[in-house]
Amino acid sequence: MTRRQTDGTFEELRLKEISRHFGRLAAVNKVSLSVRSGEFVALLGPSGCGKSTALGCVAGLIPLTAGEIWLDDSRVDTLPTERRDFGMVFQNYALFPHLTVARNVAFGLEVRGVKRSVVAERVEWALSMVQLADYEDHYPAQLSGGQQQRVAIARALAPHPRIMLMDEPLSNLDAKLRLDMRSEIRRLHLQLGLTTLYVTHDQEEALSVADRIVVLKSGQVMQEGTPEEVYSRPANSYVADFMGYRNIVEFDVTEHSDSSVGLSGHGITLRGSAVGGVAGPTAVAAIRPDDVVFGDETSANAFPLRVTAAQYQGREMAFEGELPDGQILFARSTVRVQPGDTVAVNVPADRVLVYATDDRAAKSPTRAKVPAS
Amino acid sequence: MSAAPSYGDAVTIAPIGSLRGRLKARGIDRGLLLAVPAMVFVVLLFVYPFLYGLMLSFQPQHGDAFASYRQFFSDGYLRATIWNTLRLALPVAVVNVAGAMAVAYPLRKARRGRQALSTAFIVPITFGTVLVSDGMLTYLGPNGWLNQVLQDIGLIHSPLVLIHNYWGVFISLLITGFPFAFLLSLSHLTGIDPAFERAAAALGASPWQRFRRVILPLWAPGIGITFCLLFMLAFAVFPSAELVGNPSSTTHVLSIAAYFEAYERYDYSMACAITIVAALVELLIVAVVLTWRARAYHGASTVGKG
Amino acid sequence: MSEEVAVATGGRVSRGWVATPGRWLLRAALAFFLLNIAAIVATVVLDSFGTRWFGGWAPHGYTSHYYSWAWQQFGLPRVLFVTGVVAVGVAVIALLVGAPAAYILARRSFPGKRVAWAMFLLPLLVPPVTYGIPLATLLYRLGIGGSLLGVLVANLVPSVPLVVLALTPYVEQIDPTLEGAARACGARTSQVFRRVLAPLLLPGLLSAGLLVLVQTIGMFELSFFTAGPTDQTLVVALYYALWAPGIRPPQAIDAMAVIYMLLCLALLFTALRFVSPTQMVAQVKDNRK
Repeated sequence: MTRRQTDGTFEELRLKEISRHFGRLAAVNKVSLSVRSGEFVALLGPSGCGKSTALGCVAGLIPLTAGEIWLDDSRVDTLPTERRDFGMVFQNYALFPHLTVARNVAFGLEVRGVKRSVVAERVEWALSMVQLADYEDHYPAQLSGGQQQRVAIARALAPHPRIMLMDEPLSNLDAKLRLDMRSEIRRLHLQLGLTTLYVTHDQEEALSVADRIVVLKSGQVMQEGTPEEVYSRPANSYVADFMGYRNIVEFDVTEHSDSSVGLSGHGITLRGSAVGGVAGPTAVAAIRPDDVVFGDETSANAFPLRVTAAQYQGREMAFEGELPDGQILFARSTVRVQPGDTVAVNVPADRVLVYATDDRAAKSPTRAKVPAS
Repeated sequence: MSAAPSYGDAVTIAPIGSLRGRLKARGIDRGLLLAVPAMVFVVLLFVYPFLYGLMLSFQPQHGDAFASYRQFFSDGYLRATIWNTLRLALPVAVVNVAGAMAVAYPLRKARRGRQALSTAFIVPITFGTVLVSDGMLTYLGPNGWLNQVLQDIGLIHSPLVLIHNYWGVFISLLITGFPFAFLLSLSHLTGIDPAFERAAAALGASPWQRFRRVILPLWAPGIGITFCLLFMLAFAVFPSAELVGNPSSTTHVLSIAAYFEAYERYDYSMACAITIVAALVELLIVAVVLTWRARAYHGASTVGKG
Repeated sequence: MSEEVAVATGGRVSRGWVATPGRWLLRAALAFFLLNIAAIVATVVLDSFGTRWFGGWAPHGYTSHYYSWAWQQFGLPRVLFVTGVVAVGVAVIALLVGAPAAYILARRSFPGKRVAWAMFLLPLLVPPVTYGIPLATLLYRLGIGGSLLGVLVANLVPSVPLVVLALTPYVEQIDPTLEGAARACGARTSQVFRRVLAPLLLPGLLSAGLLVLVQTIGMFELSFFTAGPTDQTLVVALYYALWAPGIRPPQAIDAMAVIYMLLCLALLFTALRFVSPTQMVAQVKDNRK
């Protein structure tokens, strides 16, 4: 039984409003996305946002409730998993414990009826790609977590899949190994030009490996863009919060022209740049702790901060300070500060992102008022 | 069965180098006394009687030490009990395990169906062979419902003889054994991480290939154990061989022969010789299956991490 | 953290009740099997209430007369008393003896541990006749053969290992640091057992106890070898009645069978509230609840 070996060329993978419901819960809700050949796209979001379910739908492991998946002109969502020719790397690797490393990697080729000599060649190639050439005869249980991860990647690579799907591939590794594997995955992608759909909850990981990031929340797309776009111009306060804008603070809007917004509240005034439309009397400002810088009291965005807690973190200090009315703000500094100090800080106006007030931001725990002491 | 490091043990401080200290370092201390009562029970009630039986078997009423064994193997009627027992136990175990696999496999994802069937099946297990035999005597008898139905729909013209012969015992073992096989093999099957099947599908394996190349090898160890237990259960057949079988010929099994020697002829030596032979034959078959299982099996059926 | 719970392999189709002919064949075979079991039970119940039943679909008339007949003629009060005392006695003793051993085997490693394991497994591996007959002989020599005590003692042989086997996984899943924490709080060994381990092990003790009860009530061979004429358990009495039919009306035997059945079912449904069906056959804890 020989099956068609695809040459792996296609123009575009398109998800058309795909949905997946579990009972009443919409785990994936009308997600549309197109991935060009050779692109590395990361689905990013906290646990429960539907990103793994979406990936499972693309793989065919989870049937769609609605929507379609197309690969150029052929519809793939009606095909069973095994006929899609996608490679998949699972979070827990799912290496077959009864097969050696070589047999694991050969699996996808053997079930396609590929000739033995070709299988051997491909296994050797795939294992050399992940630098595990000497481990052919080991069983998965004899390998470390990082090695198992590499075997899982080699196994997915060996059949030359049209698309590579990766479901949180690094979440079971320790911190250092995770960094190594991250660059390894990026290297493989660049070397092989493999179209990749990558699921992660780690924003740093998504930023460093992907060409494009899709941020999901409750099964819906919140933002789609390059890492730079998502990082520096989050589309809404939810994405901002997720991308490390730890300070999400509500202010009154005093003035509003084009993208520049004047804010006041918590005893200070601030200028920021609006993202999306800002209407209404209040707005939410999102500020990264790193963007709160020391000094220059004459700048328009300068304000005093009374330090309430400080943590030494090696190269810099992370600290918490109070605005004049007691609102907490997170900041960083290379200068040593101590609780009780009052420091003058400012935030560049283009680093204060202003969003329309929404319910979620209003309930954000980072805004909980701490009584001034 | 790995032992977790126990912080709960009483910390007895003993001088380094003392006997107690050295024993403690090897895991021997007073805490182990907790296991002593159970060990004493097993030794007194199992090991001692077992050895006593072994000894009795070598002390025949007449002749030298091996006379009972020699008589067992030279007497065709007694010797045939081995064959009579295996002829029941092996096919029953094979049919039950194969049937259980066929029923369990499609159920591996259907949680609700699994629960309902498991509960339905535990009932005949609880009833046991004596009760099932009682029911079979009426139900499968010449005037029983089954023969009536089969005759009424014209499938047969004269009643099938399903009791007081080989098939009666076979059926009784099927009824009490199948639920066992089903529950055991299902529990092993559901213990296999579904991720393996998904991974195989993602790698292009068809449903049959997924079964043959991934599920079956991972299921095999559990199937091996299930087969052994089923075989042991059927091998010990006693009440149903007497009640729904033909205990003087086709279902003259080892247990019946041993019982007869002990309680009808009062030849304890012969009775014990028969039970020793029974244990050896049973353990031999179990050992063969387990050896095969150990050879065929590498790794674990669950993912190590996550 | 994969958030999917239900995962079906394959496309949108081929799910649920849309099944292949092979699968329908399996379902039919399964239905046939269960139907036969139901019919076997039904015939016993029906016959126990019948006046006479020679051929035909149902008895000629109905009466509950045979229950009172069986109650007196088979001496069922005594039989039920013996069955109850033996089952409960075996369960209690097996738990008292087996639980500490299960704790040690789950927690500790010591030289000879494998031998200890083998000793607990072996009684469950060899056929009951192999040790049953010599054990009965020994018990008769000691003068307790043929008595309630003898039946009780014989039934302990598979029950103590059963408790050890059933309980070890429960002990293993209790975090050993809890015991350390209790000690750090100043608890003595006996207090650690009484106040920390016993409450945490309660579900395990309960299910192990129920497993022993079910096993002992259904245990034929060992009770049969050791039971005397006045101290039979229910299953042994039923066997004797079936073995020598003719002298007693079959309806009365079936009436006794129904009583045995009801006892089994009552115990079974109590047990199923605490243990899974799988656990009842495999004695392993089913964590996938």
